[in-house]
Amino acid sequence: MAVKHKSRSLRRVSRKLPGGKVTIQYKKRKPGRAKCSNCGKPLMGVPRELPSKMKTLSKTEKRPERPYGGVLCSKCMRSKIIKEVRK
Amino acid sequence: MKIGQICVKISGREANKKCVIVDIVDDTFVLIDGNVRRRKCNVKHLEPLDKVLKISKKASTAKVHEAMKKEKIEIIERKKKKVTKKVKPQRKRKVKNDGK
Repeated sequence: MAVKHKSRSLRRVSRKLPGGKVTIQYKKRKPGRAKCSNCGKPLMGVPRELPSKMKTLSKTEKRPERPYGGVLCSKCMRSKIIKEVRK
Repeated sequence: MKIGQICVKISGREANKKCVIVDIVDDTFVLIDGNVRRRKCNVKHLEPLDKVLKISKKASTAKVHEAMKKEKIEIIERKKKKVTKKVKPQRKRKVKNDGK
């Protein structure tokens, strides 16, 4: 087994080969979920991909099409807008 | 929530945009227009402001924009979707050389 595969920062994925044999493939771990900057809850509509793959996605695939999309969750966005309007 | 009331849309793609209530469908749905697309909207997604415009029921978009101008409310011009005809790339026909 190559030395670089010993590190636990790689994810072990068992795969069946066409010949029927089962092997272990080593994959990079995905980054954590995007979080709302206000309440810290995980954000919807934001994929969890490695940066190299995120580049291949189009802009609308990376965040929802809302003001503060991808930064604030919908609840925090609504309360923020309501506060601004009520001022 | 009266007809002509100016409110702010608080959810969805057109959040934070000013809109005018044009028609009241029932106690949960209203028809809105103004800086937003003219469509039915849930009352929960609207935050009323104190101003009320003098417009008739089911007023057309042009009338709503006029009334908004009077109240000096900034109108955001929405880009009209340009209908681009998809031009199919003509495949270069292979010229049959006669090879005389």
